[in-house]
Amino acid sequence: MKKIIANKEYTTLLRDKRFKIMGGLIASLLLVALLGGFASYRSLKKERDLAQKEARETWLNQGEKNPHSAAHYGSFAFRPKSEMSFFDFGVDSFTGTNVYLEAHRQNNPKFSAAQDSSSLIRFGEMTVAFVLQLLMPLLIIFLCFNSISQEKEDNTLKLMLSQGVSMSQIAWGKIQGFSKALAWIIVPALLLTFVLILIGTEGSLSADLLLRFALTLLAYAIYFFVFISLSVVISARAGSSRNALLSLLGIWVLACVILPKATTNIGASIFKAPSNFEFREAIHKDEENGIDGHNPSDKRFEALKKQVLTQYKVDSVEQLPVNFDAIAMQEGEKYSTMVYNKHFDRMENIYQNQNSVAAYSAILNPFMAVRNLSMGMAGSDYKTALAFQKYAEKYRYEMVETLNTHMRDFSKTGDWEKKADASIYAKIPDFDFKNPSIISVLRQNWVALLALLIWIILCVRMVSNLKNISLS
Amino acid sequence: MEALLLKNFLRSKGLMTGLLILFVAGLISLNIGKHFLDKNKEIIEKTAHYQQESIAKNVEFHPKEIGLLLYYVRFGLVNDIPNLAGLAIGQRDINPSLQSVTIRNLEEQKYATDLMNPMYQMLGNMDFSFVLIYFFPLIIIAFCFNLISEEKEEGTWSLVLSQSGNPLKMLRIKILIRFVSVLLVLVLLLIIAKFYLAISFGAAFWAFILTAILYVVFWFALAWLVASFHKNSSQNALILLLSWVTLTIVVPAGINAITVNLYPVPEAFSTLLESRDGYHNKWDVPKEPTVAKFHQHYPQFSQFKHPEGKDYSWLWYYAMQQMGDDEAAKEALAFKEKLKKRNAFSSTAGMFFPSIHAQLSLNALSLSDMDNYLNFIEKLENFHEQKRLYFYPKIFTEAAVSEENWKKFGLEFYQEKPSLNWLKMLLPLLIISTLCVFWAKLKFRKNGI
Repeated sequence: MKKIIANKEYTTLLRDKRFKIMGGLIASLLLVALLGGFASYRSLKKERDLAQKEARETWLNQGEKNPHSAAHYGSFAFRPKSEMSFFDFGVDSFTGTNVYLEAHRQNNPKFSAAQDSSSLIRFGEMTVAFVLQLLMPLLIIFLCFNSISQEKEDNTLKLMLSQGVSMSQIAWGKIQGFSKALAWIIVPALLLTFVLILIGTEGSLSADLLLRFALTLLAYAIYFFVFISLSVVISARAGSSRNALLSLLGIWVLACVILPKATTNIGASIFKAPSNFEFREAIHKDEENGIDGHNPSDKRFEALKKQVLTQYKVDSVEQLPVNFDAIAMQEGEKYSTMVYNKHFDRMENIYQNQNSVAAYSAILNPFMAVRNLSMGMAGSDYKTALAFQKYAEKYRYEMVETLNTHMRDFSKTGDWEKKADASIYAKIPDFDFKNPSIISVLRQNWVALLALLIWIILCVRMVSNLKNISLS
Repeated sequence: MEALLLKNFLRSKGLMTGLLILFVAGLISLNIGKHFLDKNKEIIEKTAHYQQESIAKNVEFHPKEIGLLLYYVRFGLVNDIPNLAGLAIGQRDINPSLQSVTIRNLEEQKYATDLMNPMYQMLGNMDFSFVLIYFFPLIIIAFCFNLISEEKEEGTWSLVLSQSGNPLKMLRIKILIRFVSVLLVLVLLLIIAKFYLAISFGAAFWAFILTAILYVVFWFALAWLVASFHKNSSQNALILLLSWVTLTIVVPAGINAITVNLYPVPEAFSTLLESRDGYHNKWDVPKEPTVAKFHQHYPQFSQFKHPEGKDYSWLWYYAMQQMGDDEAAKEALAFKEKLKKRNAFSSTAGMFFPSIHAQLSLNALSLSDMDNYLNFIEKLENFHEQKRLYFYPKIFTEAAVSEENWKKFGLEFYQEKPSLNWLKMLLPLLIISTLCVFWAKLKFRKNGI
């Protein structure tokens, strides 16, 4: 019987004008979002790969220089586009795309897309994820809101129940039928996504990427299932089709528009983050007075001098066989990097606390769960951006360290003119950032995973527990 | 009849709850705006204090060479925030409202960003403009989607037709009551905002209020139009909500995508690269050409020469820094032009869509849009240039640090006046609303009421 209902629901839905119009609309939006997203992904990827290559080439070919001059000249780190980011832009538009790597200074990533855009960007971006997360549930609601309430209003429900079919069987049949019809929209879009991933990676699909894609599929499948079953259950329990529609629309507005914004705003007001100015000032103070406040920079300098002199068993800096300026610079770099990292981690911690409010709301709101998972899988989430920033800082430090060490060994104190051979630049490896592995993404998103699991169980129970009583 | 309709409305729990939700959401948004303004004020006050302190400290550390001192000293320019921006924060949370620059190469400093949580930026502030653009229409839809259909579905429509001489008048009063109630909440919120955020009654605030009211009018006009189709409640709700989704979600995202693809900005990076190479590459090349180029840019400083045979002079150092800007100037200009084009395109396209038009107008009035940011950047360029022109001769003549009154270098403020183009701002909303009402009139006439 369940099968018959499913088939009936499936065929009538395919003939339904509502389904044809709205389904067609969403399918075309998906197509536009996919192709548009992919085109912009390709051009950004090309732009950045080229820029990274250019930065590398100018670095290698900067000619003979004093090593410290080269450290000031520095290089650039570009955030590579993640392969699946055309599917979900995530926070990519709001994080800086490149970092200037130079001696003495940890720069913030600059040139985010949001900075170059008008306020329109704040309305949200047209991506596949956006259509699937926001508009698809709306389509589901419009298709399913009267699935059972209409049968009630037409008195056909009584007929079915009197033939011995249970309410939950009817509901399961409907859910099956709807899912099958919706698959006509979703499956082609996801197939095209897969084809585009293949084109994007030129066929060299890694297991990591495949797994990311599979998990994305799964997350969305659960998300849609939740909305379909919720719509059917509410349709069964509501007094009228109209009430069912209104409650479902209310839920949609709350879950997809209001709660995400509200939880994020709440998070930001509970956990106060320092401004750029306070952040830089605190770093400056720590560098000057020492991280414990009792070790000012001039004292640190004197101590270092003493230590180096004893180490080389000489009485003055001039007698040193090595360049003391380079040693002092390296110590300074080490110290300032330590201070910077301390403050950076502290601030990141605050941001993560802020975001955790929204992340935990996934338990109540499946939209948040799927949103965070989707971003994480696409490599366009905040953690990936953060990993890039940390990697760039580490790279910067090692670059400066290599140059300082070279300067220490090849010249004497006070010699800022001696030029190093251009071959030292090649000693610094290519900037080659890789996204964190899928395991770490999953570990960060355990709340979302748990939430989806809870929601499946909840929905299955809700449907199975539908009682025949709502008949009267 | 009017009294009865009003009583009916006041007794309806659903409608009253709707108004209450709207009011509370509005209050929350005002609080967020207040918080934003306070935080910015605090940053500005602290920076003002810190700038004085840090200049004094630097003067103490580097009392001998003014050239060295000015390597360190930062001068701050504030993009003044009107209190109205508490209602429409716009891009102000992405683009910093305060820039502190040294007289060195500007390009490297110009696009400095604030530290921000990108997740927060992605979802945006729940400011008043958000409540107005997204929330008000939803409540209006909930109020009006069953204007006629509820009477039909409850079987009272035939009663209305038979008993009332003019059913259209009854409908008009019904929607008018709803309109007035929503308007009251809106005006009440704006009055509270005026005092809570200390917004001054100026042309900008009036324009803000008018835009907000017209936006609400548009949604009522649309609901009126949909009512004239005589469809059932579910269909009405569907049509109205689809319009909402299209206007507030799909179209803005679409226009943004088109803008970004029409005007890509590869210049963002090339500017950076040119500027770095322009400056840093000069360290290891002969000094004369650099200084010659500097003289070409500033003929008034030709009398200052780099001392021959010396490996260092401040003239040469600042000439190198200047080259960082000069060699990137072409790219930087192209970049700015592209951003202007992006902005112009989206605001023109947005005129046809009340949601976009209202949002962009509110941001423009609150000086939190891209135009304001671009103007600020231009002002920053001027500010930076003035500081250079003031200090260059002092550096080249090696003026004594102590001769300068360093206390006078406090924060400077850029105060923009919002450009008020009343017609361009209000007409699009007015025209679209009028069209809706006119079309509804035709429909009602055709349908016999």
